[in-house]
Amino acid sequence: MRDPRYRNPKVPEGISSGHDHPLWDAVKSFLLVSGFIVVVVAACFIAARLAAPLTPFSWETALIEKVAPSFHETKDRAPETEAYLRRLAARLTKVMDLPDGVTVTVHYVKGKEVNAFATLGGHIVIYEGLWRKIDSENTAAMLLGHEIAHVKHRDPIASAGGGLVAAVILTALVGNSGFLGDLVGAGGTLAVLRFSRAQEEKADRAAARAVLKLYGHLDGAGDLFAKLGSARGPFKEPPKFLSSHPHLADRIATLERDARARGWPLEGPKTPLP
Amino acid sequence: MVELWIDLILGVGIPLVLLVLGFVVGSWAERRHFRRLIENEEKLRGIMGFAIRRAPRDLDLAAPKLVTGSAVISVDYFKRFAAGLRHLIGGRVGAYESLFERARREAVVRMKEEARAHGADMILNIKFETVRIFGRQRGGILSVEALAYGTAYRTGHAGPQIPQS
Repeated sequence: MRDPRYRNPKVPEGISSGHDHPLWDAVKSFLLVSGFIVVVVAACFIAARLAAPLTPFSWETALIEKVAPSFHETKDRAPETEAYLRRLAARLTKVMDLPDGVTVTVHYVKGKEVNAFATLGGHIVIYEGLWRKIDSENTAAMLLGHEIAHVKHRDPIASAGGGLVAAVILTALVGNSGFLGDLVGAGGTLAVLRFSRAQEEKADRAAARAVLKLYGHLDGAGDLFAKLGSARGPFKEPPKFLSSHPHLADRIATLERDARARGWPLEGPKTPLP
Repeated sequence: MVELWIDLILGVGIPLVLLVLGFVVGSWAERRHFRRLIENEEKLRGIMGFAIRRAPRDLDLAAPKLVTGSAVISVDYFKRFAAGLRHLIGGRVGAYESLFERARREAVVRMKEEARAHGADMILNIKFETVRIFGRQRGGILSVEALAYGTAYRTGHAGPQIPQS
């Protein structure tokens, strides 16, 4: 019955698919993509880092006026504390060699938050929650010195610029497409955090130098990190690679190691707060 | 601090669990499907399939009938993720290749089953159509449909000859 001239031989498996193990295939692509993200983010931040000192400080001031015009009008103020912080900041800026035209404005904000930050335009915000934990002028000088160092190093504009460019590139690449977008975002964030930790270390060093110049010793400087640690409560610090700052214990250790290596005295008379 | 952990669990933990689940269940289902395909293809080896449009003059063909077979296969979470990574770097999308192969072969198996029910042992002019079906929105979970169709004949019957052009 069957015509022997016509046959359908069995086709071997694995012609159209199954060339690579699917898991290995995904891992390979994943490594390539994450490598690419790290390179892109690193390039953006290095470029921003290099460009930051060349950016006129007035641009920063103009930018922050546009983004947050009500920045100076925080209602919850304590004029005396703010005045004291500004006087201390003025003393610190004198010994910290700020680039020409770079100025610092300290703001004291009431609230429970245990935090302080420096942002665009040389604005430094100290929260009441953190301020209440500080018990000597030396510790306060370390805190202000750290934030002034960020302004001096132009960290706010470098972070904002690098972050913006990296975000634009990565969004253009993957859009906001669910988990993949999240993953690329997370990869970018991890790379950003690495830069952030480096900035913080540098700011700690500059602050310690400033404290040394003002008081002749570093007593009280490390207290800042101890106070921050006590504010964390029952929750531990996140793993290092997820942190924007180095671990507090490491920051104290770095400070003491630097002091010992350079022969800076770690003890001396502390100046009380007014 | 708490927010960071919640973010981590929601943002990374849950998708990761879905990925692992997608991979384990998805590859188990895929291996099982391929095994079943090979079995069924072997059973249906007696029904020959050709892509030629016109029946050869020397073949004795009877009882022509249009036969179709279609199969819809869905992508799993892992495949979608792996393919998403591939879309960024280019290259062969292995995750989807096996998906389409399964859909096509399953469609052929079903078409041949229809031919067998008709008593046919040869299908000519086999063609494929492929459609992708998106879930609720674009970028949602993807399914693919493969449709195979052709003309089935009984061969070697001394029945009425098919008019040849």
